[in-house]
Amino acid sequence: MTAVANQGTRIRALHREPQESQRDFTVLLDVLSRPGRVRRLDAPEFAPTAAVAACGLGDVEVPTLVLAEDGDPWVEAVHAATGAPRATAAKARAVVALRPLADEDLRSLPRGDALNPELGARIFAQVESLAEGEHPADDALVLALTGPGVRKENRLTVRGLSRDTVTALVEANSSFPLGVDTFLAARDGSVAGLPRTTRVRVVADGGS
Amino acid sequence: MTTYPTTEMPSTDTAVRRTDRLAGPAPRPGIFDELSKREIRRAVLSGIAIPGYQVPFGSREMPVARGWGSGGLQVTLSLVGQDTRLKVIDQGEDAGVNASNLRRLVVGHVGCEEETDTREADVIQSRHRIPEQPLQDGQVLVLQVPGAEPLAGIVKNMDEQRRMHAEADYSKMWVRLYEDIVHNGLITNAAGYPVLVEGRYVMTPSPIPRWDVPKLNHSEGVTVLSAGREKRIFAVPPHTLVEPLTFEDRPFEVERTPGAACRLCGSDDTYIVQEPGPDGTFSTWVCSDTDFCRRRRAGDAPEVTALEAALAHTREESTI
Ligand SMILES: [Zn+2]
Repeated sequence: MTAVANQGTRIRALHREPQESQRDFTVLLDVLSRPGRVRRLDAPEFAPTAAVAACGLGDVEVPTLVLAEDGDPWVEAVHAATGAPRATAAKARAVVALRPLADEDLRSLPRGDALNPELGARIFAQVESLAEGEHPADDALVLALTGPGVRKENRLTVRGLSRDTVTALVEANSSFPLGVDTFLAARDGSVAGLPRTTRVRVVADGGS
Repeated sequence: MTTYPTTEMPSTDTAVRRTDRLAGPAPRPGIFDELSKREIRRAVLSGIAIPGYQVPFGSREMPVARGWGSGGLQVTLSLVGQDTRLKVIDQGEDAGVNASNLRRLVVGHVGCEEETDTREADVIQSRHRIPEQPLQDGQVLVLQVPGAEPLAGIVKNMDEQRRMHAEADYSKMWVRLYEDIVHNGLITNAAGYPVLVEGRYVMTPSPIPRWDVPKLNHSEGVTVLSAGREKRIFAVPPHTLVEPLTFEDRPFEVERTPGAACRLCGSDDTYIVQEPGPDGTFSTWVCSDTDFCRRRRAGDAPEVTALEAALAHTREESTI
């Protein structure tokens, strides 16, 4: 970390130029439209992909909450790169989760209301790795996904995501149209989308 | 661990400066800035996540006359980059004045590639038609919507319209459709046949002919609908259930003219429109989709149109 411990470098890594944010968007639109699909953002490898993805969409109009370990310099970098104001969990429009999302996190995030379901939080959650299909491993979750955007059923293998987080996400999305929309973002720049419409089932959990 | 350059960013970075940098060097200042694009992108993602729901956005003034697709234009400008192949059609035609103007405007602003072949396009902006060529994975169809609210002709009060959507209370819509059948023998709805998306939201598919409505069901492409005047964006992801509202004893039917075929390519399985003859009377028919018609003549169009593929899919689903 010390080798890149320069805040200017971090902010620059998260600052997306117009062409980059356009390309990011086409990737995010594609993966959100087709849950289970994995595509890569062209992001600097030392920057957390979840923060990069959020910064390409965010700006001064998007109250943002960055969840991270105490003292994580990427928190400030997200706000500095976008101008996005800091938000409490209850008011966040965008959430960048650089640490695992706990059940309490998901319970306190907005899910929108019947008149304004779009006010549900948009979550960018950092994970270790993502792969299309079923690749069981000791530390991997295999998810079965159905719903809009999925022809029959898609499988997605995720490392660095706990079964508890998935359970909390399922609960947050149990009363459509209210809910939260999630992008999973891995170290290598790959991203996958879990819109609130997606029905998620854990079919293999290497960790348990 | 890799080392990275350590050049400092100015520490006195203000919000104003950041906004300037976000906006970047706009190739055509004043048309559409980076912040507006980001707002549209967020609305489109919300639309995908809540299929059929009208997401509000802050529509900007566009250099096109109202009713000529300012909503669609803003979505298209938010989608395309330099390497995007863009097709723009008006009533199925690439060469029409409005389609040409819109295409030129976007190409001039972004520097993307013009395309007329539906198969090659990444983004298709359209007014009042969905192409006969089945859409593919990776394509985005942007439909211009003059009126986003399917309940507009049923209840006047906008708060009441929103309540009805919020509670999925569409009983008044059904009463209206029933009355339509009683009085006219069919559901006439000229301004976009109402559909139910994923069993939840009633949506107008924009004023496309009924011919195009089944193509929205379980499409391979993404459909984004945008109304600039009403400042609403809504969307249909691929593989999403889109059902025309109808009654069991009145199955939904598309327009068909027995015996009529395109004068140019001979197709009787495409959406055809009457054209005026030299004497001003309407006696001949041509394909509305000019790209498809041209490729049918060249032997370069598929046997199975998007409508036939969609109807086959629906039949398959209903027998499971
Ligand atoms: Zn023809």
